[in-house]
Amino acid sequence: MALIKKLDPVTINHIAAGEVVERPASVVKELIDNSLDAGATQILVSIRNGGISEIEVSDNGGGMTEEDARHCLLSHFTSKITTIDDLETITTMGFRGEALPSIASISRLRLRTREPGAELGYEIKSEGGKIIAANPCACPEGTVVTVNDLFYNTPARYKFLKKDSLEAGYIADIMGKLALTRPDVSFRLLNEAGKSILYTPGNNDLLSAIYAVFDRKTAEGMIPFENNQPPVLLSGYISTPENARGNRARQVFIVNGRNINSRILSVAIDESIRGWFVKSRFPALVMQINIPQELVDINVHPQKSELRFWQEKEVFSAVYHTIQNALASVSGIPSVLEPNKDQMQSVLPASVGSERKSSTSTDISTIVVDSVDEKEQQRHEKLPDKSFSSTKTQSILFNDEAKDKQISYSDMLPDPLDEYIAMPLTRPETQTDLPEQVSSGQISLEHLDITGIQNARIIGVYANTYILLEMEGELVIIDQHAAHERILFEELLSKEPNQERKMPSQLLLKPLKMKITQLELAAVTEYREQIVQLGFDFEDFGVDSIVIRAVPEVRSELNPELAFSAVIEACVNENIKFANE
Amino acid sequence: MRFECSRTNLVEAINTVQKAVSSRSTIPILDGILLEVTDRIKLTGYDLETGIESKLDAEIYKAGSVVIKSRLLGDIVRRLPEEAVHFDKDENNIITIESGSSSFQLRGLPAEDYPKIPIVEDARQMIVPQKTLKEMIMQTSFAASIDESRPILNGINIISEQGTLSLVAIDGFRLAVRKEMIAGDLPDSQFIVPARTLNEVARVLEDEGDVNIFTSHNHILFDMGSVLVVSRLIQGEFMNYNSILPRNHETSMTISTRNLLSAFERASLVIRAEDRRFSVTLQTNSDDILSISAKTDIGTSHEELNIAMSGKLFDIDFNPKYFIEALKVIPDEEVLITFNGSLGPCVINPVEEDAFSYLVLPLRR
Repeated sequence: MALIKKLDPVTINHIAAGEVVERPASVVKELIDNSLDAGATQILVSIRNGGISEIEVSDNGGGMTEEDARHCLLSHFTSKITTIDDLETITTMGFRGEALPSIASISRLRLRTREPGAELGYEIKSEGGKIIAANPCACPEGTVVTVNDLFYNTPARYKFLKKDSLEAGYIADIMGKLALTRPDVSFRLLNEAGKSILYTPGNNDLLSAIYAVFDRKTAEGMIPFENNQPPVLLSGYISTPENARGNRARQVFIVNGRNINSRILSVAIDESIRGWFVKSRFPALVMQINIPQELVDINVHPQKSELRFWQEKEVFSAVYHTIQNALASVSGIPSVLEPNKDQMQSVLPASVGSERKSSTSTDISTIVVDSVDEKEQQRHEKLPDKSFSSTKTQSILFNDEAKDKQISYSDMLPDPLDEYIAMPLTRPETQTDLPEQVSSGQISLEHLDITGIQNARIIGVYANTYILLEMEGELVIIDQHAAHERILFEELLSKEPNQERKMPSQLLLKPLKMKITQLELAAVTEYREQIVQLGFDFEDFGVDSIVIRAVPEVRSELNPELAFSAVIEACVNENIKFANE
Repeated sequence: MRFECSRTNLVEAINTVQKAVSSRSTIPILDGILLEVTDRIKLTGYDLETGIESKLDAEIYKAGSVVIKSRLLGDIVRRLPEEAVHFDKDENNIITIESGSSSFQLRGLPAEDYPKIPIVEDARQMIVPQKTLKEMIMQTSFAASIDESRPILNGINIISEQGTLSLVAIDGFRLAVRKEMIAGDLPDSQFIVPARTLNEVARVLEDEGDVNIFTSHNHILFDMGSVLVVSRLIQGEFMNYNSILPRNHETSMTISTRNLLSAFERASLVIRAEDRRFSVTLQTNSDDILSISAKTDIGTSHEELNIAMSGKLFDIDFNPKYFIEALKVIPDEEVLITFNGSLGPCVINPVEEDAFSYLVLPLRR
C-alpha cells in the first residue's frame, strides 16, 4: 500500500487555516481585505466574546453572484488573479484564494451576499468547511460574513486563545491599522454591548482617520511629509517629539495600499529620528509608500503582513531622508543645527581664498600658546567642507546617541547602517583614513574578550566620558556612562525581591490621563496585579483611556507617561517578568 | 581693539558670562566669549537658549570686537600676575594679553560669526527688587523637573496678577509656589522661564537694587544693570497650581523648621542614596508628639519631636528628599504642615505668612 497520499481538501484547508488564521483578529483582517477588494466604502464589524463566539463583517461592496458565492468557499478559487504573472502587478488585498475556505474550515460560517440591483441575495452556511445549506435569501446589497465558534474543531488552536478582552483588543488594533490604510473607507467596530469602539468617517482625509484611531492631541501635532522622487514615493504624517510614545505600536506602514510590518522601515525611522526624539521614545507615524509592484514581493507570508523590497537601500534612504527633512522643517526643534548652516555659508567663501591661506600661515609663527588647539582651528578653516558639512553634523549626533544605544532594530541589520544612511550623499573623506575594520563598523561585541579586564592598566579618562585601559597590549575604551548604567542594571537584578513590601509608589500631583488602545488596555488589565506590585497605580478612564495615579519611587525622576508606556509594551508583548513569579 | 582693565573685574565678568557658554557645542564659535569694546567692555556668552552679557569699565584705547575661547580666556586671566591687564587685537584677530611681564598671544574668531542674542521687542516691563526675586527663585527652582522629556516642567511659571508676583515650580510629584506683592506698576501676564536660566539669574542678583524684567512673546530679559540675561521662554500651558492646592485638610501641625529638617536628615542616614525602596514615616499617636522613623535593611532610626497638632492622627510615608529640599529653603523658625490622610496632599507653609507654599504627595505603601 502506498504510504504517500494526497491529502483531502478539508485537511488541506485545516492546515492552511493554521497559517492564515491565528486568532480572531486574523479573521477580521481577511474579511475586511475581501470587503475592500469588493469596493466597499463602509465596513461594519461586530464581535462577541472577543470575536471567539462571533465575528460579523458587513460591507456595501459589490456582492457576489450565486455561483461565485458557492465557489468562494473552495480553496484557491479567487477572482483576483488568474495566472502567476498577475502577481507582479497585484493591486487587490488578497490573491491566494485561501482566506475564506480556511476560515470556513475552522468555524461555523454564514455568508449572505447580494449584487447591487439583484432581486434576491444568496445565503450559504457551512460547518467546518462543509456547505450545509445554500439558498436564496433577503439581504442588503453587499456581503455579510458571520463567523461563529472559531476554532470549535481545532481544540489545539482554541487553547491558545487569550482572554476575550485581549482578543477584542487585537481586533481593534488591526482594524485601526486598516482604517489608517484606507481613509476613504468608513470603518466601524462594535462590541457585544453595541458600543462603538472605533469609528472612522471615511472622508478620504488621513488626518481624520489618525484623529479617530490615535487621538486628537496626536492628530493635531502631526507633521506631514512627502517624497515625490521615484521609485520610492512617500507620503504621510509623523508626530512631533511631544507626542512620542515609549513603543512603536503607533507606527503604521502602508506599502502599495497594504498594511505591513517591515524591519527595514522600522530601522529607517529609528535612525531618522535620532537627535530629535529622546532616546527610546518613538513617534506615531502613518507612512504610505508607493513603489512599483515589480520592486516588492508580498508573497512572503500567508498573512501578507511582511514583504520584501528588491531595492532595500533605496527604500531605506528615501524614508530616512524624507523623515529627516520633515522633522527639520518644523521650526524650533533643530535649533542647534540651523545656525550651523548659516555659519557654514559665512565660513566657506572666506576661507577658500588664497590670501586667507597666506595669512593663516603667517599666523602659525606668531602663535605661542595652545598650539595644538590652534592647529586644530586651522584645519577647520582649511577644510571647511569636512567640518561643517551637514552629513558630518548628523553623524555627530548619531555617535553621541550611539554610545547609549542598547538593543535596537539596527543591531539586527545585516549590513552596516552607515552604508544605508550615506546612500545619496558621499561619505565624509576622513573615514577613508581609518582602518578598514573601523570604518565599516564591523567590530562586533562577540569578538571582544574582556575576561582579563581586572588586570588591565588604567591609562586615564578621556573627555570625562571614556575610560581608557591597556589590556594585553590592546587599548580598551569603556563608555563610562554605559558602564555605569550596566552596573545599576545588574544591581537592580541582583536585589532580592522585597517580600515584605512592594515598591513604594509616589503619588502624582495630578493624575495623568493617557489614551491607550483596546489591545493595550486589555493587556494592562490582564497584568494589573503585577503592575501595581511594581509601584504603579492606574485606573480605567472611559473606553479608551487610563489615568495613572502613582509611579514607582525609583532612583531618578520618572516620566510617568514614558514609564507606563514601557510597561504597556512589555504587557502587550508578554515579555514581562515579575520578581514574585 | 585695545584696552586696559582690572583683572578682578574681568574675572568676575568672565565667570558670569561663562554660565551661558556651552561646553559641548557642535558649533565651535559657541565655545567662545564675545568681547565688544566701545566706551565700555561688554562680554557675551550665549548657548542659543540663554545669553548673558556683562559690562565693565576700562581704559579704552581703540574700539573693536573678537571672540575668544571661553575656558582659555578664563584660565589665563585668572592666573595673570598683575592687577592691570592689557588687551590688544590686530587685524588678523590675533589677541595679545599682557599683565606685568607675562604675555600671551591667542588667535580669536571673527566677531561677525557670533550669533546675535535675540532682542526683546515689544516688551512688557516689570521692576522687582533684586533681593526679592533672588529669594523667590531659591524657594521654587529646586522643585522644577530636570527630566528633559517634559520641557514645560523644566520651567518656572512666573505669574503677575493684580500687583502680586508668583513663581511656581512643579515636577509632577510636588509643587512650590512663592508669592510677593510688588510695589509699583506690574502688568498682568504669565510665562514659563527655564529653571536653569533663573538659577543663573539668582547667582547674579544682589541684595540691593532692582531688576528690570522685559518679556516678549518668545523671550525674557533680566536687566541687572551691568549684567543682562536673555532666555528663550518655554512655550506651552503650565499646570494651574490653584487647582492642585487643597482647600481643606484633616490634620494640621506646627513644628520647628530646623528640628524637623535635622530629624529628616538623620532618618535618611539609614537609607542608602541609591535605594529608594524605603521611605521615612511620619506618625502621631497623640496630639503633641510626632515620630519620625525609617526602617531599612541597613537598620532603623526613630525619633520624636514636640508638635502642636489639631485634627486626625496620621501615619504617612514620604520621600525624605522632598521634605529636606523644601525645609532647607524656609528661613522661618516654625512651619505649619497640613495633611489629608495617607494618600492626600501634604502642604508646608511658614507659620508667619503664606507667601510660600509647598505641596508634596505621600508615598503609597
